[in-house]
Amino acid sequence: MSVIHEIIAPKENADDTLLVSRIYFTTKDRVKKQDELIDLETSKTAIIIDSPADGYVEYLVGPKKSVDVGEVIIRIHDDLSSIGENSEIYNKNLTVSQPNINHIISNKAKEFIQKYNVDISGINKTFICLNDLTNDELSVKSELAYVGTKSKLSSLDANLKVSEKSLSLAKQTEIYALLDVQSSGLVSTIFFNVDVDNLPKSENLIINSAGSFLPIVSFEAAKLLGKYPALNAYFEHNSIMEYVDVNIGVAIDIDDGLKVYTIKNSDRLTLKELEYEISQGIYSYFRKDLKTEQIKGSTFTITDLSSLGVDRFVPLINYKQSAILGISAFDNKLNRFTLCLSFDHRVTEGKVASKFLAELSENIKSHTEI
Amino acid sequence: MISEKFYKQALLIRRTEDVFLELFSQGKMNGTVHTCNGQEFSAIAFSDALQDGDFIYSNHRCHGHYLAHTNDVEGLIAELMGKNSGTCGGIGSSQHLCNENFYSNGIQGGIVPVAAGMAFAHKKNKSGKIGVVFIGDGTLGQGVVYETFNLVSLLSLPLLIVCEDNGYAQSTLKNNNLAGDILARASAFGIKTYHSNTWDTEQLFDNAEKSISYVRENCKPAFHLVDTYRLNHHSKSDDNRSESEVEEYVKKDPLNIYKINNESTFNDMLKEVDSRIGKVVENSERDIEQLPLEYTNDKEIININYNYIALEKLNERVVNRINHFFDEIINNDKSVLFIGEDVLSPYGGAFKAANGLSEKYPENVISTPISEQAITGMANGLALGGFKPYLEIMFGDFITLSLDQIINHASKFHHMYNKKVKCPVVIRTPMGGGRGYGPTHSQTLDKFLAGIDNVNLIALNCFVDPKLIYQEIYENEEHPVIVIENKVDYGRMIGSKEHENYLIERTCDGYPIVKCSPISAKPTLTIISYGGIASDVFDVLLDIFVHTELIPEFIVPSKISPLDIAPIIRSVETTKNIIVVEEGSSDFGIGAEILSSVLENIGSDNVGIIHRIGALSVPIPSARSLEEYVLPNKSILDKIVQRVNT
Repeated sequence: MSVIHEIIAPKENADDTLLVSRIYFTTKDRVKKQDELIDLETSKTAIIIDSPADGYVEYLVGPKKSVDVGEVIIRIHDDLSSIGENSEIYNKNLTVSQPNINHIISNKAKEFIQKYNVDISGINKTFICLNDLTNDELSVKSELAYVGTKSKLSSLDANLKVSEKSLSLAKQTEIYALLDVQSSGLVSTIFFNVDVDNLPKSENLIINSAGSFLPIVSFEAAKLLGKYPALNAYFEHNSIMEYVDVNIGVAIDIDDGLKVYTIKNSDRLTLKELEYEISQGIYSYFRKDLKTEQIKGSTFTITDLSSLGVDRFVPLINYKQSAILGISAFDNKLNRFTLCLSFDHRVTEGKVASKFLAELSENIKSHTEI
Repeated sequence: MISEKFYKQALLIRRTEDVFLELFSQGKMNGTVHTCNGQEFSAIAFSDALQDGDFIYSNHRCHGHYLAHTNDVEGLIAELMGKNSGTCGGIGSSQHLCNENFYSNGIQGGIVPVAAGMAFAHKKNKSGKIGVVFIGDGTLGQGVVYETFNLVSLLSLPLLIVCEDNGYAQSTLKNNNLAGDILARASAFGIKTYHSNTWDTEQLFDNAEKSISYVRENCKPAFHLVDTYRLNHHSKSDDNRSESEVEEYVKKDPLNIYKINNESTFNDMLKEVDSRIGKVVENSERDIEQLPLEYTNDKEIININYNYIALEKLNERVVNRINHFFDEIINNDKSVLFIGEDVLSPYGGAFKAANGLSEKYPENVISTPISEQAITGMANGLALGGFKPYLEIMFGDFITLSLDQIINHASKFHHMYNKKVKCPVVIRTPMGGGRGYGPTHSQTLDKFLAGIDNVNLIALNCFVDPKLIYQEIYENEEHPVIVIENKVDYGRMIGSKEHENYLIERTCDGYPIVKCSPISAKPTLTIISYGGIASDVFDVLLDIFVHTELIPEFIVPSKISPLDIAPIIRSVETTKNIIVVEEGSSDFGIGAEILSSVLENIGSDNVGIIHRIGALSVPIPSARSLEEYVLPNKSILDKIVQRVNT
């Protein structure tokens, strides 16, 4: 009188969704172990799923339906009575001809395709939206299409000599991670000067030993993010996912590749505790013993290029985040430094980002005025 | 002098009602009561003249009519005491009784066309039986009475309309409410009239017999005015007449005169009557009230078959399929009646649903005067009388005129008569704009018709064969059904909508739910619509995606009320977004009902976009540009894009 097996849509390649191309039985039919139950298609392959046991089959999906990887698609029951009367009955006799893919492209996707000259002929989807082009495998494809165009241009001058350096795995991962948000083409950056007239240079709490505003900026930003949830979030499948926790990621990139050191629940730390956490992160980075635990799970990144004397820069947003805050060098003549906030325009907009920066700047200044 | 037994009957009625007033004062009865003290002989005279199988329809002051017809003191007292052993299980109480071809309702004039419908049923069945409907002088203020005068005269129906004129409409003197001559009103419709009073009982009994014989022998209606006087309050304590005025009628009351002249016989009668009533009260007090679930638990078991099958494509227009249904069904079942205004051929109804039917089935197609309330009541009476009436209301806008008959009669009969009767009336009417017919011929008034107790609301669309839906109604519905058709849909080809990117399926049940699912894509927006505008929504599904990046799944229910929300919930659980498109104005509408049901079931945290699209809340203008502006049909895409992109 119960479900004895649940069959989920398997992950076969980079596709997140699969298409049901055929079902072999009708819900409530008796099936035997190893009977073929369902055909699923991905962009690359077809999968046939066999029954794991004898029992009664209940299809939760039917032909032509698309299913997410991990979704339950079939249940095997040991008794007919446990199949709900109100469940949709999928019937094997519902014949479905192989869909002749006729792409319907959203306006946003169309714009992206034209801009980056993306080839969509291989996309096994009827409805193509921007997300389909900027996600996983397809985003790489579009990136390749873009690179491909450039290489054609450079090859016009055959006399130019190049030497090839293959990318490290770390760099490839970095590209992949940064591509996620940036490839949407909807990233914007706002700059904001923080005027600091009474800089108490000797005060360790304000500027750390390296002469950076990183701790105070991190401290105030962490506290402020609760008020600006859109900046502590990410965009996925036409939804905005807001993080509940505030985990500031501090980007460190000193000769050993970009690493983002995560400070869990940053908003609950005192300034002293936060500074200690940052110093521990930098210490571990140099010792090359950053644990996986220490570099995952950040919800908002702060990158500090102040030690390099940069005036301002456009930081790139990390995978599954909607914003990144950059700290530029202190200008001793003008008594100020610049905050650079890049944000995902799909999640929020310039007004929100500007208000965040203005408020952050005021809060930072309040420390210097003490 | 009339027989002694009639005095005993009158005494039984009077003492029963006296006891009602006592029981009310003791708090043993719930609600209200209208006694007929002083009017009893009218009830007795007409009941006496009737035959077995004849029927009576009565009003709020119905105890006398009921007891004269049934002698059921036990059922009546228990009923008013709210007991399950009562005539109607304590559901109907004083004003809503049903037993042995006796029916009463608390709505004044509304009972007259229902009685006419029942008389029509007897005429059609050639039963030789007739009906009496009792109204009061106050009821003459209602228009439906005259609509029915016209109908019964035109159709020559065996119905005696008895007007008991007690001189007051509740507390208002007749002369302040009524102009002209009462008998002349009936005569003007060619109805034979009779005039009697309750003080000259011999003449009353004689005339009652004559008028009933006239109706029976000629199969024609008659109108019988009975002058009388009510000796008690209108109800329980609402009398402002002078004591001297009442006293005058107390003195001339035939029962009181009988008491004076036959004291000993009267006292014996009184003893016997009081003893009977006393025992009944005692027994009834021990009875129990109906259990709540016994009353509410007769909802039909909905056999939902979610087996989706491909949509049939018929090379035929909606209106032709409706016409075919009636052609076929009337051919097989002569209890099916097609009733409506202007439905005779060659005209065949304003939208031609009745085309050619009256030539083939002259007995089953009934063209009526422009009397929506009366013809709806007549259809109700025909349904109670065993026929299967399908009433066409020419424009949906006019159904407001039928609402009393739908809400206070058809909807209630089954329950208020404790499930003794069923009223399988079907009312068809076209709604919708887009043709420039203006404010009173273009509305979609569906929201006023949804959620009526015990009335199913169905909306046809151009995806599903209407014949299939009407077949389901014909075969399985025992209670009232309203079917919303659509003027623009009438001309559309059934099932012709298709798109290679959408799989269009329907459920296998009698009220198919149509589902248009995107092929090889997971939908991210659920759109619900129904009726005529569903066609317009389908046409923009792809554009909705192009402009919003949301992939719509489109669901079109055909049974609107009660609504099966399960397939809608299932879709929203996948898409997390829902928009409802309706052609009527959306304030307090069907869209609101759908959205609240969805939210109640899956919670607002699990839904992103929740939105209604409907007509603007102004009367629908005729000018094309304005009509397009007010109705949502042409701006569905814009409105969805606007909502999604903000």
